[in-house]
Amino acid sequence: MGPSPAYSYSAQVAEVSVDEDPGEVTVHKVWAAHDCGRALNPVSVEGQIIGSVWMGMGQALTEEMVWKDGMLMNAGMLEYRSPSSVESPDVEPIIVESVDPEGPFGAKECSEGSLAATIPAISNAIYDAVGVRLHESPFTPERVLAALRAKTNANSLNMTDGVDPTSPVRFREHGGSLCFKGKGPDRHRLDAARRDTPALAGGSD
Amino acid sequence: MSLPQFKLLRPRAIEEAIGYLSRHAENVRVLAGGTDLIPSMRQKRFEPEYVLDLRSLHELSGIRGRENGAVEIGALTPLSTIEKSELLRQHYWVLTEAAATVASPVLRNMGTIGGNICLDTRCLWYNQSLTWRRGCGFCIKKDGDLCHVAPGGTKCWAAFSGDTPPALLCLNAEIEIIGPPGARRVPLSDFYTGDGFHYRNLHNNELVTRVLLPAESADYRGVYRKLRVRGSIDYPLAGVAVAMRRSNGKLLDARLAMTAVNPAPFLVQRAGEMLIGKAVDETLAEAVGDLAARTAKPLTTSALTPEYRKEMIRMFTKRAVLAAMNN
Repeated sequence: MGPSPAYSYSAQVAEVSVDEDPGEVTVHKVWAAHDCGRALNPVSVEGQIIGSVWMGMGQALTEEMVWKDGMLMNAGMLEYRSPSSVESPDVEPIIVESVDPEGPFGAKECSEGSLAATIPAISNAIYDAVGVRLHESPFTPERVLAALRAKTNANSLNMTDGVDPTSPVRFREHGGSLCFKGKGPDRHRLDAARRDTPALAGGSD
Repeated sequence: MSLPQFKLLRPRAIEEAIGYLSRHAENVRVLAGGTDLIPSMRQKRFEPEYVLDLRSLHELSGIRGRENGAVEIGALTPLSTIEKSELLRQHYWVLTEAAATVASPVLRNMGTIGGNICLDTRCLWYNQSLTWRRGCGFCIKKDGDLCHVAPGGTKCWAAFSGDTPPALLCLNAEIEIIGPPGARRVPLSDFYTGDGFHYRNLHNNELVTRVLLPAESADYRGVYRKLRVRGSIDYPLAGVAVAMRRSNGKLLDARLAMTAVNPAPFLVQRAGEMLIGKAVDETLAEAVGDLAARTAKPLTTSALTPEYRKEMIRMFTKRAVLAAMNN
């Protein structure tokens, strides 16, 4: 993990339920195993694993920075939406000890290493539950619903129609900016953010 | 984001409060729970010279049942008191359910019903810090002259995001407003204007003092459904309240109200007409959902897409109607 001299490994299993009408994902339980080298303080290691599941859940389900014309639209903890205690699932931390010869007293690390597994675990659990593959995190209700509608071909929720055509492709695909449609050249002529020429930066990426 | 400087006024009687309001009309903001005012002041959306702290007006707090069955709620009653009130739970369930979904327990302990009714409208381009708003050239609601949500328009589309007003609208609630000439009563449905900027019909020397729930609305079955990303803290991104009275499987009266999609919470009149006298089944609930979705006009005032919020109005309405029918 990162610049540490040793590689730590983690594996997680997530139990989720998906409400198909709103596309809402609820995580019920996560089993999180982490190879941390020698656990110097096992209680602290467990705490780190639980914390990382929570952090990973934020990345998997809710947390996203939404940009529009260079403005961060959710510049605050209220709109950024980290999971609250209501969302926190049961976490069963499992410490897998291995002795690393390079680490201090045989330790590796335990913090962000175990967070990486939460996102694919939840994503796979959603696939297992409702059969849709989501290729973009966070798996917000609207993305899950759009994927479910696309799968069943039932009056699909069109999420790309009318998106600002001048916005950089990467931002356009970045789901957040999908909600700011019909802007760009259609803006009011006094709008400071109006662009009469195609965007230079990132226009074709 | 520090608080701007202000002078705190703490009146001990309503008349004194009205006096302060009349004297400093343009330059005063009212503080009840402070859960919305304080963040707003930190973001420099309000920079009043005076803040009028109502919290020592104890006569405006509490829930009182009248002998004819009507209930009177003081505007300073905390939302947590309403949520837990046995009287309201028995006879006005939909209000307690709506109050219980507001923000988080900590905020419900501070936030008041009057504050929730008078809640400022919200928008992504407005609920931001001064620096942020300067960065986008301000907006029509505060300091600027253009709307980023509907460019070219002169109307503000910020969405009203209170949870209790749709429930109160379903209960045909009235509010009592006290001003210099005295008290007046208005139906809650006449209180909101539908404009995001002047969102309520309240002069700046008036106070909302009481909420009155009529006896005729007691014992309506009702549910409130709220769209939010997290199970706590969040403002509603769409909200639907349904209240109905039935006998022998037929509906005698039904009301449907929405919040957080338009600049005002509102009753959907035609939904009542569609439901009254019918036996509610899935098809009818779906038709009412379609009607509600057509009536809702969500715009890009929040980080979820308007299409999704509209879909959720449809889905929530259907579920709420069925749940109110079956509970």
